Amino acid sequence: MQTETLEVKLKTAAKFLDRWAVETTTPEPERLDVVIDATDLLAAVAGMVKIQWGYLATITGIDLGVEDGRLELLYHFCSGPAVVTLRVRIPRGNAFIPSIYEFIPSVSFYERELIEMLGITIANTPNTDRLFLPDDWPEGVYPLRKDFDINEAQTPRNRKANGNT
Amino acid sequence: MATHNPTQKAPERETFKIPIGPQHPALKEPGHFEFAVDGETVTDATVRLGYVHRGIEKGVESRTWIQGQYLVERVCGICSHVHATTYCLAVEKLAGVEAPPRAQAIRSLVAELERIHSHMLWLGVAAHEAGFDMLFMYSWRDRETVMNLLEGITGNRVNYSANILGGVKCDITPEQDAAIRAGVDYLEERTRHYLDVVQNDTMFMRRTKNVGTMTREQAEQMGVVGPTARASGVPRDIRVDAPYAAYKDFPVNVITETAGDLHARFVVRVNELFETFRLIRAILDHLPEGDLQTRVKRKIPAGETIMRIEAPRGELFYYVKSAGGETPDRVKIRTPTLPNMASVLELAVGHQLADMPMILTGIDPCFSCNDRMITVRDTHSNQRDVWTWDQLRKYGMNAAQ
Amino acid sequence: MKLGGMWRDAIKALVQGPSTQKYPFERLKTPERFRSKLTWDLTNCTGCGLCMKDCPANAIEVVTLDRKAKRFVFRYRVDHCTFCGQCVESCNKNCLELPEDDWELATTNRQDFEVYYGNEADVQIVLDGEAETGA
Ligand code: SF4
Ligand code: SF4
Repeated sequence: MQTETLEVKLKTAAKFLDRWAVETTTPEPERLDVVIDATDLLAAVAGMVKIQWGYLATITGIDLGVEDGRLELLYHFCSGPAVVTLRVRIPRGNAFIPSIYEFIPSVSFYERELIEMLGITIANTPNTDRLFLPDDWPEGVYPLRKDFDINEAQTPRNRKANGNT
Repeated sequence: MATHNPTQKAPERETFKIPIGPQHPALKEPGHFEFAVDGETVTDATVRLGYVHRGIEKGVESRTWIQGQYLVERVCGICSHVHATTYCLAVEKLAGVEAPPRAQAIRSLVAELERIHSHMLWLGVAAHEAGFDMLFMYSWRDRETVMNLLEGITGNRVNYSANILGGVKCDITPEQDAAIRAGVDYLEERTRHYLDVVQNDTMFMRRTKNVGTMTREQAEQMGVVGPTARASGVPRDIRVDAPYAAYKDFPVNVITETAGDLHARFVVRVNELFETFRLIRAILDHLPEGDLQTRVKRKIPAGETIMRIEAPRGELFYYVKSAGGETPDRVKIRTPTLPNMASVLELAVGHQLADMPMILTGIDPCFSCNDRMITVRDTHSNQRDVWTWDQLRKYGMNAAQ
Repeated sequence: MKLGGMWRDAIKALVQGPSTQKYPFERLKTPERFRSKLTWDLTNCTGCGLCMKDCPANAIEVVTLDRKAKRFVFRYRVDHCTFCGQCVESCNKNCLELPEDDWELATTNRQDFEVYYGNEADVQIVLDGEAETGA
């Protein structure tokens, strides 16, 4: 019975998201990955909330590397055993994405994390304060990017502690 | 209710910002909260985390798959085993191997013992915040029983390191089997006693009934997980929804409550303990025979996977990506406290300041927000009035009487 | 204020006395699987270095003086070690062991945390070499 509901759930999501889908894959039995354009993100998320398909578990941000030149954002929706992931790829140099706070208010933490960890500009998110990184962390240094250099991240306090001012 | 407290003159149309935290020497994981209050009522709440941010997600990228396990095990000191288990299960999935049944059963067994230890710890801390130190002391004393069991099985009280990629390191001997059964019997009797206390103590009821209520709709929508969700009647439990490790063979009954208030969160957790005792006995009764480990290659094939498991505090979410080498490409960890905290901050609006300590403790936030300095600042005249968390706690208790 | 059924607990505890031990006068027996200071046995070691590679804390260094003559020195940093037990699992020659009884490791001298295992003469060579490069 459980596999049935799983299948039904995934099918509903696949059918619903089809209008925005650039590519749809099923990497694992309980998963559905849908690649969409950044411009369609708001519509897709709003739709998922409207049809009440699960809840947003988190947003994963990945740096695909300097050569690839893109960042990838994964919006994971979970419902029971099923996980639907909306995959959005945006250019590294001009990392910009609209906020989905409007539809899911609890998303603020994840968006704040993306801003500071990957240097993504998020439009219309209510709070852009640092969430995890220290207050004296240098501007423009994003730890989860692949070209991150630990030396750039030396905060004044660290430098003093390490004796190399 | 508490307007007679002299420290809080409620001026008209003035908002106070009340920062709480972040420093505390005795408890783990500090966090800084800022509540805007209008008189007594909280009108806005924000949080600033990261005082113990150790860059684990980044750190894993520069370690081998094997070393990574010990790093993620240190994400949390209380529920360390679930982190290592999630990581191992995810990596095993990527590698295309499966740990032997006996190993999976032992993983679940240790996870359930850890759940007891985590819930009892929480019961104590929550009781302390409510001003019920007697319950705190005794529940922590009894918690030693399960800590000793864990030490006996795995060799350590915390960060057990019971897992290894492809299985577990420790077996359950017949003597341990007996010791666990005896320990669980004792704890069950004690838990029954605590349930009685939680449900009948007048003072305790006053602090928890109808406080921080979250409706079922709110809980569903905001993606609340774990006991916090189950207290609002959402039957959300990964052990049931997407069974992992040995939970397929040892089905779990989901414990829910409908009230959605703080009291329901207490009752859900205590009742969950009984379910955990039952599970532990079931696992011991039907522990599969066989090997403890399978071999996992040092290089993990390229790919990505998602692994979700039910930690004591709720759904733990791992996204693991391999580029085919000896080190992970990306490991994303979403701990249960994050979505719970987000929703609780939304809930905080409209509540009394005095209820904040209990509401925060109600989600079991890895106890990140206890006992610290609080500054009550008048934003207009910049006058400062420094409180300690203790004062706020007492203030809360007075208001409740 | 009603204290529920907790009065009985309190009275019981009064009679029972404290639940804690008076360390160091009384010592709890550590369980058999407890992990304390690592030991190394040269006899079977092949110098493969797997223990060194897998240690998450970089606590181990296997110095090879002469692989054929089996002259290895095992350098172990107790203060780095997290007592995770991975090295014991990684070594398929069973050279390593984490005994349960050597856990009182506090010291005022940092040097005590650097432990060398191996043939005495070889250890001396490693120590001398380090002194040279260190100077
Ligand atoms: S026990 Fe763990 S930390 Fe200690 S030396 Fe062995 S592998 Fe390294
Ligand atoms: S893993 Fe074992 S055999 Fe290999 S170097 Fe270490 S102690 Fe020697």
